[in-house]
Amino acid sequence: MSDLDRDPVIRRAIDELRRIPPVDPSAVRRIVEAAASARVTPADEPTLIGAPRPRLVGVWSVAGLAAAAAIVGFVARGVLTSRSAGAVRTQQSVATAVSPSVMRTAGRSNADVLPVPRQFVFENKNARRISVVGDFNNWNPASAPMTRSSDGTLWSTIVPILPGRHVYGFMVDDSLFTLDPREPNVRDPDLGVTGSVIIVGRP
Amino acid sequence: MMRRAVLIAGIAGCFAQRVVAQTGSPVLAGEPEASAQIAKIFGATEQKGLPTGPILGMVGYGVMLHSPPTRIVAAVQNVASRLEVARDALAPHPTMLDIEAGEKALSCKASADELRAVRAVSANQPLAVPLAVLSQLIVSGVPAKRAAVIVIDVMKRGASQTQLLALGNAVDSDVRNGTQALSALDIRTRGLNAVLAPPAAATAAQGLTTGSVPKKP
Repeated sequence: MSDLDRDPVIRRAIDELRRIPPVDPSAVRRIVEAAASARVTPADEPTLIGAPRPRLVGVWSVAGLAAAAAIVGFVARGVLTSRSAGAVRTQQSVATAVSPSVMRTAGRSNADVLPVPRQFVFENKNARRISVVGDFNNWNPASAPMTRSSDGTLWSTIVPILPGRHVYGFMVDDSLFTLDPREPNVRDPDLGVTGSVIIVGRP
Repeated sequence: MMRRAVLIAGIAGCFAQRVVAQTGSPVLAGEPEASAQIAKIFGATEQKGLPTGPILGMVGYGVMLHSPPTRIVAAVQNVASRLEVARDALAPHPTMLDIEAGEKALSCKASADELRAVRAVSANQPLAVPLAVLSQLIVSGVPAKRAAVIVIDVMKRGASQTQLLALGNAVDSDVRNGTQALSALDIRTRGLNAVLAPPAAATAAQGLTTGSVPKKP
């Protein structure tokens, strides 16, 4: 067992992910009935020039039913989870995972209020921890931690950001605010401090 | 030791964004007077139906950079005022994103007139990106009026968000490499205009989409 496996939080996460979702038997029955009624026989199938292809009907039927049952299980689990947790809580957790700004615009159908994934890359060999902080995550260092590359020089993360102009920077080792050398910088007129700027739009 | 340091850093980083559940107001730890003032501004902004995210963001920014509380309060007050101006300039139905983008444009020295002019292009078009590019051009050194004219022109000619962003980024890059802002804007606008519909065609197309008949010359 590795160190990671011994960590109680990681163990809990693994256990949670391993849990088999409950399957609603009535939903499975409905799908099986629907599949049976919509079943295509060789006579129904349009014939092409040449001999018909051999088909592994039995194997594919079983595989299809298994896949359908799995989908139903996941859907049923999602519905049950959201019901038990409450719709508001679910909405909040999704919005929090995306961006604080999304909460303010949740419920709009306009595609322009959907966040756009944006990758941040920063070079630093010596840091132990780096995160992206900006007006898109209320300058919260815990919101967007970066991951170190395998060679240990580049840090990166992808943050969903709403379209518009955003000021940000990198928090190195929880204490040093650093600008992005790859992007332009701008001085905030109110606080008199400098931050990096990106403009996000829909591709 | 390490865990303690992380915990302290986490608390320091998070308390700026902390929203007291009962009041829904941001607070500055250990600064009751400044907290009260910020809470008052926050409450008033919320009551007016304006977005409060920029206020929380400004508090977080100020605290993270150890700005003096008085300066944070003043900054928050400025943000609140600009949000109101932006909402009015982008009437009749600005989205929260539009208002936030308008506030940022105002902070970059755009005027309410320029915001109104951009809004006039289309009552329903999302303005976050056009206003962001307007801000970027102004920060790059283009006079606000000229920047607004260009943004409005390319919007009318059907420029996509990507094309608008590319224009702003190209001008910004040129300026950082030593080109004068207006020269950069002129050159880059010519490049964009080459791929956009000519003004007359764009107007006709807009007329067709709204169901009206284009006027004969």
